[in-house]
Amino acid sequence: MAWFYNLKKGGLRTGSAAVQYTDFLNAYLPSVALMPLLHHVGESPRLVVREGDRVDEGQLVGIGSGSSAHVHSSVPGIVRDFRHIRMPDGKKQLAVCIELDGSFSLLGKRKETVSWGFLPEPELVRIIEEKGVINTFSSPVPLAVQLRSFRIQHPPAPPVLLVRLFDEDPTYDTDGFLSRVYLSHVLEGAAVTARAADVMSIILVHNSKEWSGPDEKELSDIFSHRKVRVLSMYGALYPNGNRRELVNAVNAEEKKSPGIFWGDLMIDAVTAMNVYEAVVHNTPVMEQFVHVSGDGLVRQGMFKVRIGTSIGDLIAECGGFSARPEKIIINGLVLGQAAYDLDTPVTKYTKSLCVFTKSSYKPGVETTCTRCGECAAVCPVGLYPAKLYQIYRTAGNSGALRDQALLCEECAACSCVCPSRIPLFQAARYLKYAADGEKK
Amino acid sequence: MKKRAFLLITSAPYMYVKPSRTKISVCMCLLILPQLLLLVMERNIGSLIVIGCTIAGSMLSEGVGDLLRRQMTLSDGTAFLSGLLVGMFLPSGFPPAAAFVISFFSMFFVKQLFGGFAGNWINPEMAAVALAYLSGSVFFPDFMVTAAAVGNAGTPFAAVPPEMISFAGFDHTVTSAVNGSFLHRLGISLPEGYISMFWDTGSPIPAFRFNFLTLAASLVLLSSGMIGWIVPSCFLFMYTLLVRLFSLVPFGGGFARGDMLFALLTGGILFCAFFVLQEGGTAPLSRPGKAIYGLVAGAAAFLLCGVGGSPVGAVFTVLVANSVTPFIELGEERAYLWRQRSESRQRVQYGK
Repeated sequence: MAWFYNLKKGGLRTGSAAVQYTDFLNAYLPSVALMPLLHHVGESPRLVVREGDRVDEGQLVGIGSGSSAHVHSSVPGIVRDFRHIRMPDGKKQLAVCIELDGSFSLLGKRKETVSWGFLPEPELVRIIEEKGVINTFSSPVPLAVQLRSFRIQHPPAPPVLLVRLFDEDPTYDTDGFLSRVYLSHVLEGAAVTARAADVMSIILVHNSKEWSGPDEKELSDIFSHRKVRVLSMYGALYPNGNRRELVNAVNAEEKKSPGIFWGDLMIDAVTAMNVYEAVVHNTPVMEQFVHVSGDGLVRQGMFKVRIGTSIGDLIAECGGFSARPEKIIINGLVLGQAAYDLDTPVTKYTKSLCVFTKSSYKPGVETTCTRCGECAAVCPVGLYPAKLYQIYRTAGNSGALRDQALLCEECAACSCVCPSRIPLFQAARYLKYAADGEKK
Repeated sequence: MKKRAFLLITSAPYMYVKPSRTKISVCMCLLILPQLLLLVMERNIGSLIVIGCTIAGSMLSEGVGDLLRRQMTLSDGTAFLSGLLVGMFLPSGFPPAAAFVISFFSMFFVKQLFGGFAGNWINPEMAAVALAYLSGSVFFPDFMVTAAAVGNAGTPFAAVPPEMISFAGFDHTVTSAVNGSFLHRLGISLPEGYISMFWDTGSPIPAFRFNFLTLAASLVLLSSGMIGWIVPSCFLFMYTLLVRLFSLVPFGGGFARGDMLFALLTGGILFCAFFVLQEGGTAPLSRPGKAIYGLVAGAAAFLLCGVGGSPVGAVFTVLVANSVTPFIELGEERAYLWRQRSESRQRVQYGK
């Protein structure tokens, strides 16, 4: 399969595989936690605490309604104030500032274990909602919302759950870490999700050469005798973890009819792990594994961080800056965002942090397009990004050409290879949303 | 923690897998620098002055273009590289003033007429050299070999007048070592003189001279991803294949008896393959397109350079190949549309 998939058109050899850790460090508890209310695309939850309130560990501070997820306090303490802070995605959001105080009700205590096998499916969805689990497979969305809509209108075939056991961005390894170190938990979380979504089959996609997890029979037991397939994306060029690539890779193996549809449910290892914690241990989402890297830090590693910890505190945990930082990148070097300040909190969708110094970070200075064709060669959907950029710059009408942008997967492979450092995928994204808006 | 305002927000990606255009230009200049140093060491003042003039002409042209377009491209190094490449293809005896004027006007008109750097489908450097040849062919050297001489001698190498090859002092030693160490096992032997041509052909045109340095530079360019491998490999494959199969047929030398080494080491074929042939804008975009372009260029090189040793065959080869590019790009556009249609169909099939 991997060999076959290498023959696909486009794709990028990133050549910088992230360090694969086998152990993690518990980050210090923040003296002040900045709990953002919104951790996903969509509406913000309703605030349910007031200034001066005392909150327990895991207590609700924001109640989701409809399309939003609950938010829980990651530390016990006193609500000091409410601030608008900069989030990892660059937007400003309201955050609850909780000063650490009082005793922990979950940390250090023996975790309860719930036998979920007898729970009805709607109850599982309710627990997932109650614990504030979001799906970080691509853009973060509340998992319970996805599960409910998936159960109502699933694709025109036996519904499938796909679990991605590696990271979409090749420059960090958070999902990969969980899949290696906590595979049993991830699989159980996936089994809960499969049951909650009422799917008929499960596809586990990993990127190792050989599957080192449970065998077919054990997998069948874990997933309550549903059909389970294991697919390797080993050696596949980037992008290999987005929805399109996974759908194509799975269906490339199917001979007669598609094995998976775009509308099928897809989760990553982080989401499966959070489902496991929520349902099996009755624990809300309060912690996040963050892959910390970069030569701008004294120490790198995999950290288990309380949500709401500022990246400044996390950096201090790593021994501080090794030199003057030039850029702090959250969630990967290919698809991530540059942090605005050190107060930016760790959220439910923060997976990595990378600190560059001036010597290691080379900013891309845009120059004129040389028509080298590199962008067209790597585009997995066969677009010519330089041409789209030209349309974007000249505000050209050419509707047919501009509509091609609708196919763009926003993988940024074109921007990564552009010798002229042109923001190609941003231009394609702009045209895509413009064309999409007009069609609607 | 106090806000750190020095963190400047920029957009993704934060890693690049290919070097920047400026870096490529600077590296190419640095890789040509050893050849210039050898010119300095042998006090080839004529070539150095011509190269200086073409660089000045190109830089001035870019500067004027920048003023007209109201943008700054002079600092990215491409104008310097263009001037350097023009100078490398002009003979040492070419009038410096004419070199400056030709470099300036060719660059200016080719780039401005076609919309700036890489908007031109024709290689501006080679257009400048072609113009120089058409306006002053007397300054260019003759073919290294004539048809009559090849017919009489049997091979192009044997047909070269002795005064046109400058034998290096180490030629005999290296040739003996190469023959003795492994070539004799294959039942072949390398005549003396090829090692000299590999090191320095002694041509008055600098780009034709230091094949060893050009090949060494090509290793750096290819391994670092600064240039693609498809165009040069297809070009060299096609040219050497045709030379091997057919080059001696018109001279009664028989089929598949051509001298590939002579063809490669004379006439600036290697320099052209690695430094000139795939300049941005003049080569197709897709991998199949680049392969076709390289093969067409190889065929054109065979028709224009023949057995080798042509003073401007490589230059016109590039221009002929460039003129095919728009047609290849037409096919590419159709292929892109076909791929997009199949992508759309697939998405519909998979329920997007």
